[in-house]
Amino acid sequence: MEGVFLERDLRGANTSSLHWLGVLCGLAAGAWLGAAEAPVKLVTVGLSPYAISLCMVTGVFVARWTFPTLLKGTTYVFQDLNCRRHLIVWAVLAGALWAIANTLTVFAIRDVGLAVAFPLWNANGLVGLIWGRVLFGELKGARRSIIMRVVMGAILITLAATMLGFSAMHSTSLGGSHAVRGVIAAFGACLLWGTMYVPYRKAYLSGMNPLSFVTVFTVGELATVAAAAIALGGGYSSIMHELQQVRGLLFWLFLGGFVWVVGDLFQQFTAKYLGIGRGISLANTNQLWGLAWAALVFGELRGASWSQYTLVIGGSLGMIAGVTLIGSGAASGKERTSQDEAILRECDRYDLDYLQTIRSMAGVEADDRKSVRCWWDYLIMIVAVAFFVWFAASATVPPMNLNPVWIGILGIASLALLAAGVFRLWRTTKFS
Amino acid sequence: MNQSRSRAVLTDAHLWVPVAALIFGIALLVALR
Repeated sequence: MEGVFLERDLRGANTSSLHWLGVLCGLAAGAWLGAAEAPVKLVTVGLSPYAISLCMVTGVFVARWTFPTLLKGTTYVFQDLNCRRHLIVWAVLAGALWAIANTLTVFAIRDVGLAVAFPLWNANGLVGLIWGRVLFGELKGARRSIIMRVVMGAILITLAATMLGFSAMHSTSLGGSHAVRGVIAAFGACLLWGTMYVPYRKAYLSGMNPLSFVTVFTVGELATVAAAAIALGGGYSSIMHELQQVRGLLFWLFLGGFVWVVGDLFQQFTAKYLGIGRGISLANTNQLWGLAWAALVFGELRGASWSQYTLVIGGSLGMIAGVTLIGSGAASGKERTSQDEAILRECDRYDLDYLQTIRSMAGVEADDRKSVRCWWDYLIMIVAVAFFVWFAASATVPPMNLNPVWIGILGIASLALLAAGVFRLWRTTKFS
Repeated sequence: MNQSRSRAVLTDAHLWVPVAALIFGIALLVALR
């Protein structure tokens, strides 16, 4: 244990800046995960949810290989994976958990309606908070005031997201006639989406770069979504036939997946630098951004009642209050020691270099890690760009009344958060 | 991955949390389809 305290002193100077980096990444994650809903709204035809998921995840797959290649190169990514091969199974598991949870939400909406299902699965931040405490010692030893801020912040953001979800609904009726089944499905999605962050945190406590983790995560994600689409969506030919019918709209789903990955990458860095107890809730601010795009660009709140506006205002204020509480609840003292103990556990178990892992958790790159580009890195990026250009060339814009001024304002705000997040990540950690 | 590391993975109590969640999720999907 002496080593734990010794190494803590080595990187103690920048713990505060890492906390704020995590908060910034959480907010950027919220903005981009929320913005991902915008392109998907252009798909107004009746595609099955399995086909929509499959298309979005295909865009996600392409983006998840493009960004790590662009920022670090595949040589770096494979070196990182090779040093921690035991984490590959964790990344695949996390991808599969995401996909199964996503499919469960389809059942929940079908059986119980969005009004009841949404608040249930949106409580995944609270599940993450529990796993963070039980498995990784997050908040362990923290001052009572810090624990209060983080727990209250997470509860506030969950409630606020629920209020915003309700405000966007045109009906609060109970959807289908299988209420119990729907509630169980929504609860299952909540549990799986909260548990999905366990592998994230495990990987980062072991010193893995988030960019390496997502390249494997997406394999489990795409394979499970494809399997679910084929098994539940009427078979391979049925799904393909459905997609052929709306070829002009596929680009928007791919684009939605691509934008979603930008948010998810920030979410990964939040999980690394803030932990899952604080990080998931911050990323859940995507509800606020999703609603902003829906209301301001697509005019979905036009003609809304006063009760809906009250929910919007209450939800927005609640979310801002929750973010402020979590933002001001930085880990310090004994909680940092608990984190070091969690790192020590991984190092002892998997024979990892403890000092190097501590340095990785502080955003310091290993000396032997090289970010070199090979010809296939450029090939991957060319193929990714070609993929999007090919689908963009045949994309059709459905006749919808969009507000160009708000597209500009929200677009600029999202890009500003992207620029700030990328700059701080590069400056503080060189994307490690 | 060498044998001792494989054993370390399989005997890691943390692993069984997402595995149990995944099994639960798949069982739910099958039951609700």
